[in-house]
Amino acid sequence: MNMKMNFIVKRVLSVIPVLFGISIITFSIAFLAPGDPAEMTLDQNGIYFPTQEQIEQMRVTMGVNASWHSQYFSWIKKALYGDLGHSYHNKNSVLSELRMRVPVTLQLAVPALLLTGLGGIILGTLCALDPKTLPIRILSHLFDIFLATPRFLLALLLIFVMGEILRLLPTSGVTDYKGYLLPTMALSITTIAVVGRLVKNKLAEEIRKPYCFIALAHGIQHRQIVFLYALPNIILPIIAILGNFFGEILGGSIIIENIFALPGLGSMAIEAIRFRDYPLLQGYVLFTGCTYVLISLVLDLLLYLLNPKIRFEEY
Amino acid sequence: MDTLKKSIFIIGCICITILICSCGKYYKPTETSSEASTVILAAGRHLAPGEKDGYYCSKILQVWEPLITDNELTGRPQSCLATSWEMRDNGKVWLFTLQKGVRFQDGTSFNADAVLKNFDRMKKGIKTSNFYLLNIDSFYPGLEKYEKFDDYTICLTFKQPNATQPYNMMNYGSAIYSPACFDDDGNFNGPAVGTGPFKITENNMNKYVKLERNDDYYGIPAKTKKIVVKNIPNAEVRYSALKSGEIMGVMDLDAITPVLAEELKKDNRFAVSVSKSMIIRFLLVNGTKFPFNDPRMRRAVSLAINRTALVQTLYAGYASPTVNILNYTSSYYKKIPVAYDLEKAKHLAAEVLQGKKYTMVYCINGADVTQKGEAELIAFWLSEIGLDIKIQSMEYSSMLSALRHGRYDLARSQQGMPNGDPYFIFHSFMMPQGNRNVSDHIGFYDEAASRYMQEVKYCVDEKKRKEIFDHLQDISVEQQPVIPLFNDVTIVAYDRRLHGYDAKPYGITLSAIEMDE
Repeated sequence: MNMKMNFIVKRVLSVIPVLFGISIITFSIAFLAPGDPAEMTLDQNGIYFPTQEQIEQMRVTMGVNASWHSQYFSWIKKALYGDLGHSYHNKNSVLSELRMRVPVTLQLAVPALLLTGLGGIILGTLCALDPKTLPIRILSHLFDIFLATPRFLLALLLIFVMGEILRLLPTSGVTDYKGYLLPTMALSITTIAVVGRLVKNKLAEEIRKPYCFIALAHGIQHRQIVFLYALPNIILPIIAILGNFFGEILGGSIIIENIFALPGLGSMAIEAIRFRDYPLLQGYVLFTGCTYVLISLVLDLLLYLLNPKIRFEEY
Repeated sequence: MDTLKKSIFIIGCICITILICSCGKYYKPTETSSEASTVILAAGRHLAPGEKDGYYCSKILQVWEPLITDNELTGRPQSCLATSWEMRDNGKVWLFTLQKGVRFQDGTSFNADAVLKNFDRMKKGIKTSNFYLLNIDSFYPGLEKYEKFDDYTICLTFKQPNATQPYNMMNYGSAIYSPACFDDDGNFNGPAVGTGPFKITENNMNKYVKLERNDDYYGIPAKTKKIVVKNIPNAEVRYSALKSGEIMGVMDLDAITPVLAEELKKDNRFAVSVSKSMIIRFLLVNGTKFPFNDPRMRRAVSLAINRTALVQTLYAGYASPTVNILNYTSSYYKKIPVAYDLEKAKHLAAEVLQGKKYTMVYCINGADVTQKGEAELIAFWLSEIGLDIKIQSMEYSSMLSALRHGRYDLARSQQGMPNGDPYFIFHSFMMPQGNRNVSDHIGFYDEAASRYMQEVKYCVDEKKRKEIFDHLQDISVEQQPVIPLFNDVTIVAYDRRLHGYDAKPYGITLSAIEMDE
């Protein structure tokens, strides 16, 4: 227990310099990138053209005429007290923006993770059980197709088939749970193929190992060997892949959110970059940084619990 | 083994069946869509950005109304909440008579006091917006004082004559809200409350805004009881939503692309309506350096571009070729033939380039997919006059930065007409201290143009103003401070069960929409 606590405390403490580093790098890149936040706030894609005086006045109002370091330290000072500032372009507080958008992203990410995990493991196992039958060969080719299909294309295809032709699901928007089905599918299908293929290959490797042959020689059925012995042994890389996938979509899937009109973190990040909205960008980076670190911590703990080798190495 | 496989297949089939069954036989878009009186539309952006936006929502939602609007046919000022106006002291003083018997949607009276409180709010400082910047100095330049003469007459006094003040006040320039909906900072303390034919009943940020007919409206009431405007940023998805019956129409800027509009026209369930747009697209030229510091080179580029072919090829005819920097919705717009003369262009370019080839950078906004194809076509035409074009696709903010620092030769740009008065446009592009002339390094100066601009600034004689603006348009075509390409067309598409869904320069008239029973 002590070892475990020690491990957790070490991992949590290591987050602090990481987040600090991320915030400095993001702030520097945003600051060095060409473009003026004041002008972007006033400009409406070139339709309205602000005067120089208006831009100057807006710079003062937004506080972006100060030097890089004073802007950064002012931000970090407030952030330590839980104030992440206000968005330049829509004037909402960054925390309220996060509160509004995180649930949307979570409602997309959690079902996508479940679908990917279950779908990938079930289909991968099915492929490994009897790879020579026709349906399984078709499934293998489907994996290849989905792996090669970009998500935006898949999303548009799903909208066309499920929304436009069959009229089973809404093409966009999130008025109820049905609104999340198509984006979840668009996000998951490619990763199901990744996980499925990994499960299939790993199981194929595993069942060729001596312990499986011995089990078979003892008269244990093939499917029992796969489920009881081989599958638990390949679960670690699958957990790692799913963890990364979850972290990736928790940061916001920009294309999917844009296509399905989901006001989640991905669309927030795009707005922040487009408008050179430093406070919003920093808020986003801080959130995604924390999320990644948290997921990686949970993954490490899971691996720590599931893999005796890690524990023995500690001793 | 077979049993296991069968079991997994059966489980899979059950999951898919449950998924499909849960969706119902046919998808019903929202709860409200089942109500016969609700019309669901979509726009490419959220049209009610909320409390922190200077206007809360777009004018096309018809929640608020201005004192003065625009006549859609002539582009001239037209009465709305102000029934009439009178200029005094050569434009230094303006009197506005207000509409009587009007109530805000919260039941309070619209009168001079309410209008003055809106001016108090504007005085509190610039408010940013997704639509137009709410800045009292832009809409009321040199405003000295605002006061009421009686309950239905207000008086504005300016430091200098403002002969065209009603133009400045059109639409966003004189939006009026119930004073009760402002907080101490002049922001909204809840949904905007105006005098319009619709009121906001729900605003789900970035998702949809629900409108309901204002049954106490003083004018012709809206024909539809409830309207929902969804935010669907992707044009292809708006198209699919329309085809699936999830929405009944698309509205706002860039509601539908020309190619998709052509596709929809093939389906007799849908119709497309077009109107002039207030946006003009053009090529910026860096006139502060060679070769565009020579007007002959700018003219050569203009003559070498086949605008008609450009519009037909890339925009399926949904645009109007032009060589005039003034947008065609302005009442002062002068129709000038669009010239395409490659031989003359070659001759002019050869004079400037001395027969040599010149390599230049053409900046485009990478987020606008049509600009790439357009740039390639233009680059091909310009290669014939000795210009070797390097297309540089940039992120919009980075592109603006390049323009501000003069790090470009050619760049694709656009401009909207903030009001019907052409003075703003000509001043911006053709005066030495003009906003875009300076910021975009256009480097334009013409003595005659500057003289005309000084003359028109204080000119109140309508006939004389028209003459001056005609001269300015002639100069702009001859000198080409920028190379106009085409005026935009507003395209909207809708389900034929809707009536009154006609495109207007800035969208559609929601209150005129009616659905078949």
